Amino acid sequence: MSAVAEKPARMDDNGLIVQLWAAIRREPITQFFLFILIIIMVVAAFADFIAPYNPVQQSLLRLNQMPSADHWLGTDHYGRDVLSRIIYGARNSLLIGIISPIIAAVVGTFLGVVAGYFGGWADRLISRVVDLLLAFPALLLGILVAAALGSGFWDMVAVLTVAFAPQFARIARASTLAMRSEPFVEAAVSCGVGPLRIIARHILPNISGSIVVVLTLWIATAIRLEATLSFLGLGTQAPNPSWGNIIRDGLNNIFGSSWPIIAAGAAITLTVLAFNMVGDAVRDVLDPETRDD
Amino acid sequence: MTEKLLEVRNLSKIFAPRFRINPLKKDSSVRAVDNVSFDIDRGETLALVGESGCGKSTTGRLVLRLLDASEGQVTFDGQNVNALSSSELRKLRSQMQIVFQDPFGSLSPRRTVEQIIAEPMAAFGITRRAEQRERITTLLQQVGLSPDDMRKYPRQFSGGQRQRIGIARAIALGPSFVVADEPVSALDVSVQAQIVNLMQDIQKQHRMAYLFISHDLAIVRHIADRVAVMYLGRIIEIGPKATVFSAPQHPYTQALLSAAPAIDPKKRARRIVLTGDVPSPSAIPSGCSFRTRCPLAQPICAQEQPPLKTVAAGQLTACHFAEPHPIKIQSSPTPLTTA
Repeated sequence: MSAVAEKPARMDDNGLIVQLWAAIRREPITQFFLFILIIIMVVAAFADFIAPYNPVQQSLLRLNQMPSADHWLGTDHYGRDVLSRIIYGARNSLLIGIISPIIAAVVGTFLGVVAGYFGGWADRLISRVVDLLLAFPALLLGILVAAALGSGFWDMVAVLTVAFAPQFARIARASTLAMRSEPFVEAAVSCGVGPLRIIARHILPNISGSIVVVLTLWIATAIRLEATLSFLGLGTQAPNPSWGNIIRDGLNNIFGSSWPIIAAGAAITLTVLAFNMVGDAVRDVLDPETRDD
Repeated sequence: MTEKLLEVRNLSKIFAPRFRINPLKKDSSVRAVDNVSFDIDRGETLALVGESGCGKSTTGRLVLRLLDASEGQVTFDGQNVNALSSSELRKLRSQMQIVFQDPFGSLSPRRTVEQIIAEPMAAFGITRRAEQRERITTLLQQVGLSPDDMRKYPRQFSGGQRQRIGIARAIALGPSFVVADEPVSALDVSVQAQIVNLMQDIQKQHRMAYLFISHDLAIVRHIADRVAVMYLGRIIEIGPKATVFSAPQHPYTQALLSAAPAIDPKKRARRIVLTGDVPSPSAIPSGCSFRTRCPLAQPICAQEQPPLKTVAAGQLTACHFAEPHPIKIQSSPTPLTTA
């Protein structure tokens, strides 16, 4: 993380992608995790072709097997191939873990910018609702909303969006307030530019950096939260695999075979770690002031 | 021929905290601008001088309604600016513009010079690219930049050049009134003169009026037609440049002028050194706000706030002890009724 500090942030000189790539190239560890991340995503995307078995295919002849040449990560207590379940589980976990923070970012940023730019009653209303939602721990909020909505794929996305949007709203509001007092924004106001154009041209481009940083870091949290909810039985429902409910299933059968728990736990850990590491690199480039070294 | 363009009457701005945290504590609202009145004619430059924090910039923003006034009224070209709806106000913005103090912060770092200067044009319906280009070319030449600079970003320019870009943006729609909020205070002295001269040239060409906010008396002496001196949110002296500079009647103005350096040692006035600090604007002294530092202060100063009264043609002073003096300047352009 020190590598970026050597050169001052040159946000204006190079494109973001170029800078991001340069930052990643300077850090071998980040490179490694980016590589892991790409592999996880490719595996999730092409699960149909990569997974050796049908993840819900049960077999009474192969219960609780240890890893072998046929079943690299063994089988669970229904005789399902653990590796295939992990691969298909990646699809559910990643899709929910990536889509919901993105939707939360869009919704939250919109609310935050409106609150920060216009102030007044809009700000008061949005800020109070955001405060209310922030007062609940994300997990508790998730459990509440999941209980109310149900537990399908889009229900899960909705749950996580409600849990995360307030975070984005708060950051967007604070950044908008800071931007609003920038002289170039005042200049645009004094030129008779309308509020929508000011938001689109001057506010959003300047706050998008911090939003993207928060987004990358929340993806890891979203994957974890989805796993937690599935573990508690509120997320992805059996027999469809997600990393959380693989652990749940495995826990009931921990003395039969511990491989499902180990494999799913390792998958979650690795993915969350990879997203956090890459997220840190993104933050270092986009938001050098918050670097904590 | 003088024609009144801007009329400011009893303008006040109070910044109040939204909640009083401790009800026992004294009211902490700040009276940043207090009962300010002045007029500006077409093509005229009124300089607003005073120390940091005395409300000069706030006054400028109130006049343009970049801030909403707490009290008082601004009339621009016959329109009551305070009463305009936000869409009417936006239309009026082509007529009144501002040049900012900070040549770095006032230009968005992500936009090219062309995009920056085109912004006010687009807001007023000049959206054809070719027409914008043509106008921007003229404007850049007018402010002493090359049309090739259009494609560059603000960071590729020096402070003085950036201020030229800011001026080009301000005059893009041909305004009749520009608030210049300390436009040169962030620049090197050598560049200051260029920018001030540029502003004067542009003023002559377009017959613009300036509200020139500054704390630099040498520049004010150069550019102003009339001068208003502010202290703690109030105008304490206002008048034609010649009279205010040669015969200041308010002790604060006298102290300010005596502090300005003069090259000729014979012309150096005896320096009046004020004691004490400027009081906090949230605790303005009763009566005359200057009395805590005034060498002439008497008991009456704590009891009564001195009104602005005429002491010479066009010159008004808010001091109990200011006397009419005999300097004669032919006919004051706008006799200002005291607030």
